Amino acid sequence: MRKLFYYELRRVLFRWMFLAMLAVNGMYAWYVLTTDLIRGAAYTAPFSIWSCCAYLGKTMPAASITVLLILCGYYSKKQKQVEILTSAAPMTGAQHLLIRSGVLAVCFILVSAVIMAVAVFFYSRFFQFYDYAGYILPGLLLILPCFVVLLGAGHLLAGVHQGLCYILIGICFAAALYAPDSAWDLFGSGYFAAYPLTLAPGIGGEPAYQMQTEWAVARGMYLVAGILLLGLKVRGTKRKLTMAE
Amino acid sequence: MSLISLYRVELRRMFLSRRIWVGALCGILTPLLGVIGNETLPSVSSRYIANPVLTATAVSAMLWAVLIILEASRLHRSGVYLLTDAASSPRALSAARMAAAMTVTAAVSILCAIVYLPYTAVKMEYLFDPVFYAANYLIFMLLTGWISVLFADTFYQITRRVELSVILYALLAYFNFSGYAQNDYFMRWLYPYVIVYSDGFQSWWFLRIGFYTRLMWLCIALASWMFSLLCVRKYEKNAAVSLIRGMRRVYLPVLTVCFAVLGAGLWKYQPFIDHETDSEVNNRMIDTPTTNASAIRYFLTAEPVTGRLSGRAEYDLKEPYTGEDKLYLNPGYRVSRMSYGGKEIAFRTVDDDNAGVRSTYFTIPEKKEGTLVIEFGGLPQLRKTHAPYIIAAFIDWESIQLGMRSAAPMLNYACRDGAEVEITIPGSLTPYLNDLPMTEYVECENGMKTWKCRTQEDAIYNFVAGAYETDTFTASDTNIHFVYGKAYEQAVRQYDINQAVKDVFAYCSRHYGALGLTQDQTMRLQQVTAMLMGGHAREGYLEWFETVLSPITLADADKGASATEVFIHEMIHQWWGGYGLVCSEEGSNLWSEEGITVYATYRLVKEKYGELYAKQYYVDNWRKTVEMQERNFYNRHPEYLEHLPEKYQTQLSMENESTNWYDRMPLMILKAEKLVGGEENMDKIMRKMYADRGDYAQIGFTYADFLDYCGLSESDLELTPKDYMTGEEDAGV
Repeated sequence: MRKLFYYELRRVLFRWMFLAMLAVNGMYAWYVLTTDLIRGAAYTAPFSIWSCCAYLGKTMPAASITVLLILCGYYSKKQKQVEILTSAAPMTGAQHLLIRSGVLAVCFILVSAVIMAVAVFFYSRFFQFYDYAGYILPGLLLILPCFVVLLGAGHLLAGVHQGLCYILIGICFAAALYAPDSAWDLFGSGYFAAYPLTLAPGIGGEPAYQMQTEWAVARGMYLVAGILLLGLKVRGTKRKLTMAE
Repeated sequence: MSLISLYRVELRRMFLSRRIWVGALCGILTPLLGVIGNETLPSVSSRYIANPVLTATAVSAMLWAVLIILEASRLHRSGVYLLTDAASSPRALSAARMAAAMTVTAAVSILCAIVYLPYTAVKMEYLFDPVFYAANYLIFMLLTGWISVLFADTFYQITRRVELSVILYALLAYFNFSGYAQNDYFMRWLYPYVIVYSDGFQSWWFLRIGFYTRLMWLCIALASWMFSLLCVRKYEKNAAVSLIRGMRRVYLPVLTVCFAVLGAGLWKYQPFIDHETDSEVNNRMIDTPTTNASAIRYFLTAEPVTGRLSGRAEYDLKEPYTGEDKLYLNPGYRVSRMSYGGKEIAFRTVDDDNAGVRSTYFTIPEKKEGTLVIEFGGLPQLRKTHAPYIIAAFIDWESIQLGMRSAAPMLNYACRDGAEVEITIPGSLTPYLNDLPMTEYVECENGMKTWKCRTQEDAIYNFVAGAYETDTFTASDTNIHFVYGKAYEQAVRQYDINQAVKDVFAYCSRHYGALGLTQDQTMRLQQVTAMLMGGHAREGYLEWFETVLSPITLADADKGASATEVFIHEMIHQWWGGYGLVCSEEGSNLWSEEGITVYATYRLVKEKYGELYAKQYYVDNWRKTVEMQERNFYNRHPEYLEHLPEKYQTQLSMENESTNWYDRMPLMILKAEKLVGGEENMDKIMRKMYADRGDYAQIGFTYADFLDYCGLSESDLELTPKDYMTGEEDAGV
């Protein structure tokens, strides 16, 4: 199983499309930082948790699209033809699905790492800012549900028809352009640009970071929804296998 | 098979494809997206034509791009290409497919225009113009659709991968929506840039530039598509080898280069916006000695079909300056001939576009009496810095607007008797020269009229022509000439606008004193096109925004007031501004006549619409904006400002100035009102300030003067968080 995981991982990581997407994500992250985030989200400092989360929210659609494109590849006609051979391996369809999900997770982590590395460079270069301890939890809460829910939805939709996964990519693209300012904003850029404005400024003139319960609940719901969708897909794969037997 | 036969086959196939039908249906629905999200647009044409068409343009173009990529990949996905390539040339097949896709795109665009025509006509009522409406669909939606499918097919033919083509297309589309292309007429290939359409003084300027930019992008797209034809795979080789083999067809690389050069040339030598080099220069003065002219004459002809102006300026000189002299003209104009005393003289024009002018140098050979004749003409260009916000110079069938240097040359010549002006314009238009109506005219051929007049000024500062109507009435002992577009006649009668004007005059005269007009107590209130995005005021003359009379503004009780209040604001400037009490202070970015005018507008609105309304739309807005200014990180920590790019530093500085004038100062005056004992006392103070305006005409009424009149100190009016924090109800103010 581990061998197959490494094989699948290598197959994705060394494709020039992934490397190109990694570069595109890095360039886009720099563009967001230098043209938008440098002004600060909701009038807060560009290096505040609010701004940093807004930045992650702005870059997440691109990162998600990268992952979804790789996922789409798993459901292409060519891939389905190859599956006749791969299914001969001593492994269930569900295990295969989880391996691929693991590969996608690694890809997502790599893309996110590039996005964060660009941000760390930017903050140190322009603002000499290095203290990120308080950023980890909100950052994780922001990006993890994004990945899980899109992974679940992507697997489920692409399983029905590959084209549906492209529609999901289109939705991500649209979400990047029109981000709602509610706590249910999946990527969070609209939310983090609007919510701080509703809070009273604290010492220093800007609102201290506080996690809104509604937002935390929304993130939790997205996470659960993603796991459920993935579970549904795994179950569907198992049933398909049983029926085939 | 010949290309035409292939085209027929492809077209038939597309019309039989379910995917294409679904795409066409979605394409027809796209204008609805623009209809839904257009609640804030001020003019009817913008709301019911510009927004639906532009939204449909962008969305349907993206839709067609995806469809063409799928169509292009169809043969490769099914593997049938092995057979089709044997039957016909893949390049010919590709060209036929593209021609068929363009036909389908055109059909859907035309269908869209037909489907939404009744809805648009009903909604726009008497302001609907079917030709203008159809032109929008044909220029924006149809041509952008073609550009889009060309780019999409290019990406597919080069990469031969669906997902990569989609990504590349998405990146190109994103470029259009990114900050780089924001407010840029030329970079926005997918979603054309239109500021606002005028309802009453229709202009084709946006359609002209729209057509030009579509043509430019069409050339670029065709160049890239021709290039991609070179990459069409031959003998199962990759893109690079196919490209080398493709070069053997010489006409393809030649056409690629031709279209690329044409596209680049159209971009570089565009005639609509000047090539300003320094946006900081706002005024250019001629430094040569002033020459006295015994007479100045201007003969101008506006050509509404081409949007060009041609003209001749004549200066009778007794003692001309014989050193190198220069004149300024709009950068879109070219001086074609100059003569002095009947003899041609040499001149040279320098491409030094700045502050909306270009210099032409000339030398009068001898110091003897004669007439200097300058012949010039061209398409008036907009200043690069202003073009994304204001359309200040254009010539159309229904409206003409020419500013200072876009009407006639600017020289350092003075004439005591003013100037004689003759201008030929479309017969349906009523002209105003230097803010005064022209009265004498001669009928010409082709429905044109030549208007003649003598102006007191020796230059043309402002020329406006439109289909105008004038109402004359008296308001608080002032003779009002209320000038508005003929298209708005019904609205003026229906909503009794004349009464609204009388109300403003009555209010201001009662609270601050009668308006001191020097010219027989006459005031002209003139409506100007929405494309100017504002107006100006001077003694006895006031321009007001077209959308004040828009049916949308007048019919919407909530939002309507705001545009009308712009009109009220401008009228109040007659009391607090250049021709009333001059409020200015050198070096101050806080004190100006705007603050006091905004406060006076608030008071009038409070009396007219009630306290709740005034609080919601004025006081709460001021507080919110000041709060945001105080919250801004860079205002709190100016030491970080240097990290901001210069563009954002300027933007922030402009935002701060605007907030200080229009929000902070009115809030401070409101605070002063509380401290001096209420509205009545404040009115007394303001009345006295207005009465004493003569004392400050030269030196300007400063903030310190204002504090003196109120008997307050600077610290009394300093705003604390309690004054501006929303939610801290009436703590300080």
